Amino acid sequence: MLDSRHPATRTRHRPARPQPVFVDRTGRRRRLAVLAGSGLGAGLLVSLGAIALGLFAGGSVPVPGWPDPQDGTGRERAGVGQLVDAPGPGTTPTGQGGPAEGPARPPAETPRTTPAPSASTTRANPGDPHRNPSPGKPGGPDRTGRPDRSAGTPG
Amino acid sequence: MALHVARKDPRAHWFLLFLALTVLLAALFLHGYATVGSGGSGHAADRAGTADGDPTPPGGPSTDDDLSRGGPVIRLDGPKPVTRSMPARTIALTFDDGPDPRWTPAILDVLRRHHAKATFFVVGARVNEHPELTRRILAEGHEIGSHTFTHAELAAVPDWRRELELSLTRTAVAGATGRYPTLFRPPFSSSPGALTTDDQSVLRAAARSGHIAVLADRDTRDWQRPGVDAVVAATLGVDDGTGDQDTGDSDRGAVVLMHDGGGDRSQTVAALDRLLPALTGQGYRFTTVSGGLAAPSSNPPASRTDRLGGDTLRYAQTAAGWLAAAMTWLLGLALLLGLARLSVQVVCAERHRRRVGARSGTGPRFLEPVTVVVPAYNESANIAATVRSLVASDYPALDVIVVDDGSTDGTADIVERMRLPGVRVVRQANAGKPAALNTGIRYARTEFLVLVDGDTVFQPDTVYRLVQGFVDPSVGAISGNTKVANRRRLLGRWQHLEYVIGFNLDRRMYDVLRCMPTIPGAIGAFRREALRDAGGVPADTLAEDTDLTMAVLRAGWRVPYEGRAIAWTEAPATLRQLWRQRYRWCYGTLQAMWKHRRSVQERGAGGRLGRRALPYLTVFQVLLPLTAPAVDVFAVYGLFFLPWSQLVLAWLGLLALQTLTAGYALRLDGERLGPLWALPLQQLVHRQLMYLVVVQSVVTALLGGRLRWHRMVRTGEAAALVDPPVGQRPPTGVQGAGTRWPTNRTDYPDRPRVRIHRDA
Repeated sequence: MLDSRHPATRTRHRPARPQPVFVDRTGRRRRLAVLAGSGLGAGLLVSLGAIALGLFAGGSVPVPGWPDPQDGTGRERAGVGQLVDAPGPGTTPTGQGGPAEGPARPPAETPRTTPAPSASTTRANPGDPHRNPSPGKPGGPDRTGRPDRSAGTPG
Repeated sequence: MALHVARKDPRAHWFLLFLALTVLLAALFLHGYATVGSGGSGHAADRAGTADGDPTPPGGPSTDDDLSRGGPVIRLDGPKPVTRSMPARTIALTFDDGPDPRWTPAILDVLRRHHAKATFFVVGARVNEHPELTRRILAEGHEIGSHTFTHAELAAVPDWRRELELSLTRTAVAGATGRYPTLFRPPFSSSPGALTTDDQSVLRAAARSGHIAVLADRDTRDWQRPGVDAVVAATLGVDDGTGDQDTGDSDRGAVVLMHDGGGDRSQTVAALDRLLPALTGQGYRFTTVSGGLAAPSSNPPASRTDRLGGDTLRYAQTAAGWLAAAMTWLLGLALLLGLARLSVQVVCAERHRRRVGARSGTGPRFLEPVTVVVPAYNESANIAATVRSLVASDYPALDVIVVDDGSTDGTADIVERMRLPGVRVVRQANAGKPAALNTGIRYARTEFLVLVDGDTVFQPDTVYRLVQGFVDPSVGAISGNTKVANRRRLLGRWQHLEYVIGFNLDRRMYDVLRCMPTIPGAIGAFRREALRDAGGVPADTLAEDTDLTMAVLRAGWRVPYEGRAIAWTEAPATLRQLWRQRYRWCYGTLQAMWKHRRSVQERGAGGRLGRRALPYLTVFQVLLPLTAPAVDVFAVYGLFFLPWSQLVLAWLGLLALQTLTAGYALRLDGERLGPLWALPLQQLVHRQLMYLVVVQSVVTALLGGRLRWHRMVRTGEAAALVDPPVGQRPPTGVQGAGTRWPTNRTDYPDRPRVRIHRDA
């Protein structure tokens, strides 16, 4: 049974208790790294935020209103620039007059004479504050009541 | 272990890594999304039928006759749809799919020359690529509408995608020009008559976010490049034979569909150059859609938030493009490096095999006395088997010294009770494995030493085969071959494959290139003179075996590899143990590399280490593993955005390469090919663990903190392989081994490889 407290020292260069590689006793590198890491993290968070902002900006915007079709276009002939009301989704008008729809509605291309002076095709959607019903335009709120409509589509 | 007592391992970097990977993933997805739909003519093949007059387009025939027969400008934001057409002799030219760096300026020039205005339905992703063109369109008095962000066929995508397409385009235009687009033309649309029910639902959805749909009366089909005459004729409304166009009455106004992006638009430019002067002479005017309807501008000013959002979206898209390009280059580089490495490995392995084959059976035999030094700390589970296997060696002159480094589980007692001839036990106060090795070396009386871990089991021929290389007086140390004993379960099987590939290919390469960086602690033979030159076993790194080998090499000694000298070792059986082991290996190897960094400038043997092994280790064990997380993120991106055929092909190709390499290595090592099936599974857990360990090690090194000795619980499975367990062995897993040394120091540098060239 041998005891290492009395070693036969044959190895000449006994390593002294060394400072381990990489160990920084001052802690300076750790502080620097924490600083750099925080900066990096902040940068990454900002870029994530930027991507999110870019993705989720740009929702609904107010649509500029339309004037009466004859406004502003003096050269407009009768028969063009017509306004046509179409029924909402779910209904299936035939255009040639379904029995429940009253008089046959002319096809869209049919010339229309004298659109209602009061018509503004922009409607305020009551549920949507973004809608911008063409300020300054005179106009009845509802074109369905226009007297000169040649087609009586369901309102 | 007093030498390496440490504070907690750093953790915050995981959050940073996660954040960085999230940003990378988001950027790649953004890039993939922005580029996926932007090629070609902008007309999906399956919808081409619609443009060609297919009477019943996909999505079912329209049921809403009023819409389909109305004018091309459709407003659906009110309770009832409203449609309008252009007045007589008014033509609203509309250009889809731009902005395009070549054709949009050309078209703008023609329009300016003839004082014509038009409407441009832009693709949002391209607006981000060419914001200056978008600004120019508006600045020259034209109008901008939305043509979705990626030229998506909105009728075929889910609702969220519809909304995203429109809102992203709105944001992009807002960022580029400070104005919103409110006109909207769905891609793949033409005239109101071709509207399907699906198309109509798209228009309604778009109307809810404030979009007025603009279809077309006349589709010039310029994207098919039918010839300048045909484009002119279609613009004039001359019947082109398909019958679904607005024809005949060319006095009437019209919305005319053309394209300024998505391909060669020279015919469009030429047609415009002919049309504009001719029709202007006939009293036609060319105007924007809003201008034709006498409506106010459809491009109201954008809010600050949306402009900012648009700017960031553009920056993000640009940066994402760079990132994606960088990733592509990285993958290419990694693939090249991997292939280069493989060819060097194969060439070296073949040369090594020939050399070993030529040497065997000839020349003098080496039979000098040899001492085996077994450092042991709480090694009661395996020590008896280890010592017994050593004593059973068929080497004629063998001493065994077991150095007990202050074990608390009676390791030394176990060996002493065995009363084996030629086996000595040295006890010392706990001082660490390097100190124990140095103690054993001091006590040895022979000039040749074999250093072994306390849990390693030798074969009878191991020592003999290992030391034969010392016949050559220039050989200072020899590396043996460690094999995984517990390879029945998946984790063991993975490590078995890893060990074999590492030893057979890397070690043979190191041998041939004379730059062996690591002799595994489990089995290595040393000339005493070489140990003396190296200053004994160093204690300032956690990888004392790598450190020692590098020092021996730098002292000018040759260090060959003897693949037939086999030591059986027990690989970690749980992920946690594997993590700890690899963390220590990796960190220790980094330490050793750093400690011996000056070898780069040395001549001779040291220079070979510094200029061959160190760069190799730096690239393949540090840098590539550090980029591997990004590669995995790229693979996820690929799953979503790359064609499946390409993905499958790439995956199969890389897998084949990997399997062939592994098969070759297994053959070289005389192993069965059976475990190869575990190779594809390695990509899922093992690979990530391997690269995360490198991340952890590099961060720890950078921070300059101390690393605890990580511990490994042994089960004695390596012992059971060769030798039945001795009676006094404590029950498996409770042998107080929580405080064992980490042994099983097989060649780390070969190990935590992330074979990047094998991954998608």
